[in-house]
Amino acid sequence: MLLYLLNKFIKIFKKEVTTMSIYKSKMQEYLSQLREILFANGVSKDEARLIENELFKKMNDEAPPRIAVIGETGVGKSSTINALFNTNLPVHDFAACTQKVEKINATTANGDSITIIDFPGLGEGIMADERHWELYKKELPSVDVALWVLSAGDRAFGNMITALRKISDICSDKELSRLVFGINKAEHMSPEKWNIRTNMPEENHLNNLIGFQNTVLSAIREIIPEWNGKIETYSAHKRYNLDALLLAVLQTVPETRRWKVKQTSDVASWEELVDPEFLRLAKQINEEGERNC
Amino acid sequence: MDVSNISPSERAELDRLAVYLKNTDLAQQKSKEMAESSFRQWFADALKVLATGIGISLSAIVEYIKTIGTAVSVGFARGVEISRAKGEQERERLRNKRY
Repeated sequence: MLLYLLNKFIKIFKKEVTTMSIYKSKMQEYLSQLREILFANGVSKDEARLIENELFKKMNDEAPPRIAVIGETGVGKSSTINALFNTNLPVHDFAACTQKVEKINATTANGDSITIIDFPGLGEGIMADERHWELYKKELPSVDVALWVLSAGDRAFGNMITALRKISDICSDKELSRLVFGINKAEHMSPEKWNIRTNMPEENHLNNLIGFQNTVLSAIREIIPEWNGKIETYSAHKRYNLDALLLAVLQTVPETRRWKVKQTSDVASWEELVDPEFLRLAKQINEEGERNC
Repeated sequence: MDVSNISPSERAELDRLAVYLKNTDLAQQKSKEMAESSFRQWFADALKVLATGIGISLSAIVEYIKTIGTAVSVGFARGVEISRAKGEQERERLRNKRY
């Protein structure tokens, strides 16, 4: 127990001196630039200090990220959140067949808060229920981003198409622009040629993933032709392409909230699952390439 | 193990790994830059709200934000440079307004 608490403390401390201090030092940098102007304009030292304190307070009080996750049961919604934010959501936390929108206040391993809004799976029964769509309409405008999770290789996305058609009818363009599509379980795409040493799909496996992503994108564009959002293929389990998924999420979050989402994120390390010797050689190749440039 | 003594198929996988690694670094860098730019925007907005809320004694801040207003999107620091470049004339105007 003591060891657990000690480890937790170390994690929180490490986070405090890394991410949080980055923003604090940035703020200090901006404030010192501002102070010069303020003094030149007759603002007193006390007033400048007041501004400084208030801004730090505002920064600490900034609301935690609000992330909606949409998708069928079993596609890996909770494991995706765990992989991006280092939360510890039980994999079966999102109850199957629920017709309720659930709000989950999760805590990351670093002690940050995050609000997850779980939209029910998109089974036939749920789609017929008008109350369900009212909940989408009510909740979507208030989230930073809505992550729609699919499973790689699952071509039966008829439910997704029906649901998306309904959502595009009831939501504004602005709300629809908050959608990011994530294709999880990249390792399960046929022909399942996952290279254990590189922790990556082999070439023909990757080509099939690209093909599947394009199919999903075409299906989305057929329903919402003007949708210009992000779609990424990844694996929460293999930690593959999570940095690209986080980038897609950040690009979708409203501008003034991006720093908060980034500060809360703690992406699982893909490198940890790569053969260390291969990783060293790949870095060597890149360094040599840069030198030759 | 050395790059020169691995099989061609391993070498091909290794090259793909190197490219993926580069892309991952790029995505991390972009996320970082995006978060920094977002923080600058947040800072300017928070300052604006604060100045308005606290009142007239902080009107210089409002003037300051107006001065850097167009520069916020390209960076707070650059905004300061722009306001500096506007020179003493602008500061004099603010001083006169205040006293």
